[in-house]
Amino acid sequence: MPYNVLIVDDSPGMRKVIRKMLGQSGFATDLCVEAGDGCEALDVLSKQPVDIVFTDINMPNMNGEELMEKISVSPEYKHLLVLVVSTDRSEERMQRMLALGAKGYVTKPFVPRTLGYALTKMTAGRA
Amino acid sequence: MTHVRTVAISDCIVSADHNAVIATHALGSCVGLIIYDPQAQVGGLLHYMLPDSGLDKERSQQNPFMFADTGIPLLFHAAYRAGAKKERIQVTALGGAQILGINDSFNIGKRNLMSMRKILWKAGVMLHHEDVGGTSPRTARIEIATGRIVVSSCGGHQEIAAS
Amino acid sequence: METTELKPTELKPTELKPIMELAVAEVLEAMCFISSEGESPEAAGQYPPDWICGELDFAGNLSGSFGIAVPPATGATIAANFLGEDECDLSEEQTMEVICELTNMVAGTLLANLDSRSAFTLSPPRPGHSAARAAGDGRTGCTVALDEGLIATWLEIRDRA
Repeated sequence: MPYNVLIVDDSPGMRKVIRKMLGQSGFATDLCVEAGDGCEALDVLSKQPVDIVFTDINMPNMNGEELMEKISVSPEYKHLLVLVVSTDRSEERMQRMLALGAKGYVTKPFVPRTLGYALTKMTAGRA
Repeated sequence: MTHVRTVAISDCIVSADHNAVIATHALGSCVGLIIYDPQAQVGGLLHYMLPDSGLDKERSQQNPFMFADTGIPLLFHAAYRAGAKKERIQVTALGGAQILGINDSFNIGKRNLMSMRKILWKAGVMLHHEDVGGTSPRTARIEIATGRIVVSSCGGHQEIAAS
Repeated sequence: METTELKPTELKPTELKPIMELAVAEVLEAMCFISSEGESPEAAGQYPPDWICGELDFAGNLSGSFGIAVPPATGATIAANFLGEDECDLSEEQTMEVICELTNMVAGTLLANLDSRSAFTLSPPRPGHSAARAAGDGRTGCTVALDEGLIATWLEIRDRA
């Protein structure tokens, strides 16, 4: 089944790279939207039917961890699958994000196949 | 009746023949790039030596399969002509080793791999499998009927099945 | 990469430089398909005015600043390779933005190599100033040779949290 995806990163270049990797991975997507920080992401989520969120952590206005905190306490976002894509590979941060409900964690830099594997693992078992 | 077609260094073979097996040997610093469309049952193997034809334009005109940037597009175009579709193609990279005992201060194997990754990324093509690097040469073969790839190195081998 | 036994703030420039070089190599090879050829003998001094620079601040168990600078031609190649585009199709703005993201990724990789356990925060990367000094008091500079040119990096660790 095709998924609706939201890419959250303050770098337009990185958003483009993730979008391109999604396209070439063959992962079925219907809608693919973008946001530059956590605030924009929440705005998009309130208006669009998103299934999967890719989020960076270090972003202005509202960072990825703050975004996860908001998502984790909102029943309307319970269905979301969140994949963190970040330069922060510290154990402390990974554990915090996973504890908040992130389903996967990819560290930058990464090769295209890594994103595909993470997505496949995250969506395994979903119809 | 299965028959084996061998790809030499700086060479490329594409086939839609279900009885064909395409093979190559002595993948040291060279890279063997194998592509396969499981629906059309079309496959190809390119064995290239060097990353960039810009350093020797004349030679690349004589033999474009010697270089990654000229050989890889030709591999794909030949596969398309034989019925393969870009969105279905699975890509496997092999080789790019730094062979011990050979004077390779430029680390040609690593550069060959880097050039391949850049070309595939720019073309929007995913690299699905790889068995690269290290210090040992490899031998590889692909069965056109099934897409099954067998890679041999240092007395061992592994199989990569088409998905 | 293993965290060194010395605290990062105790590392000398000769110990920091290989770690900086490794971070550059890891990011450029994975995301820009560019090989690093080790530290360049070129002195890390003041950047030429046309170099493209990015910098950011970091905070956590370690605090400080980090920056990179590249010649225009190297910057264009990095950006084109990263985005999978032709150099002629990219604007200066896009190139600058990619260099900023590169600053972000190299800083993150470097900090993780210095301290893999603690989380850190990075400020949004911003265009840097070519007039800045690459190395000086309290600032470690490392210039890395690439098969596509040069990249200069600098690191300033100011204090511990």
